Amino acid sequence: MENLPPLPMLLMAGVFAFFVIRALPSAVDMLKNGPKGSAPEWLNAALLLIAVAAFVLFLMSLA
Amino acid sequence: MQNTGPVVRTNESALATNKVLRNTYMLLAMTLLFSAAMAVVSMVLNLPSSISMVAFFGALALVWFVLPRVYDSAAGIYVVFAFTGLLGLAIGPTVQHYLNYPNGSQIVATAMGGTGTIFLGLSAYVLTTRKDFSFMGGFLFVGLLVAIVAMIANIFLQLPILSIALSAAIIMIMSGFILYDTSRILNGGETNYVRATVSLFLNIYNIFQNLLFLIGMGGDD
Repeated sequence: MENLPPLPMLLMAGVFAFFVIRALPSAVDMLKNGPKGSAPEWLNAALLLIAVAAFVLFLMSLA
Repeated sequence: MQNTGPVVRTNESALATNKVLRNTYMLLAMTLLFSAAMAVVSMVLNLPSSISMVAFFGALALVWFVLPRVYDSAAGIYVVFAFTGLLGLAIGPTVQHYLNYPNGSQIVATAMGGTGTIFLGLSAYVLTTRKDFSFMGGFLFVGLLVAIVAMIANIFLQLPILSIALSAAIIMIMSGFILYDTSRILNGGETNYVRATVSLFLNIYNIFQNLLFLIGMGGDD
């Protein structure tokens, strides 16, 4: 029992689980039937996210 | 008589998009200020983390059960302020925790500046290039759910390395959502500025919270 997280954290885990169960069908539907991107579009998005990651690493190095 | 129908419709559509965009950014600015003010109130009153937790659950209840019913009415704006205010109260103790570090004010300022830079940079990119990022929706949504499942697991596992990886993943996912949400507004996929504001607010809030955690790790003795 002493290894269990405190009650608020258990409550939060329950709330998150509820959200996942509630949102999963629409997420899967979006993935299957949503618009599909071309390779250059994905590359463009990936480059932007890599730039964000590099910026976050830079900010972490400042601290 | 010339047929100007499509031109008129295009102009009307562009005007409507600009109106949604303008209203969204105006409401977003006001809610961010209000949320920051509530975070300051929470810090000044030194609210315990239990109150912060209650505020967080209250905000979740509003965004899941109340907001979807009032998006199209004037009440939606009041509920958005209540929602963002509760999230401000909820984040207050976390910000206070980092402010207690020796270089706490620098950590918080860096996280705020970093969040602002990420948001403005990505938004400016979408607004200037007008590229459509709607193809990312399914991928981001599923990625978010996977991250939440990992968060649930980490509540029990308590692995610091997983916390770091999750924070980094959530920053990436929320950055992707900024591209997705902004391009949806710009391309007419989102016509409700209250809903658009809530989406962008949540992106900014989550980036700030996780950036604070990652930057705060360096300042934690």
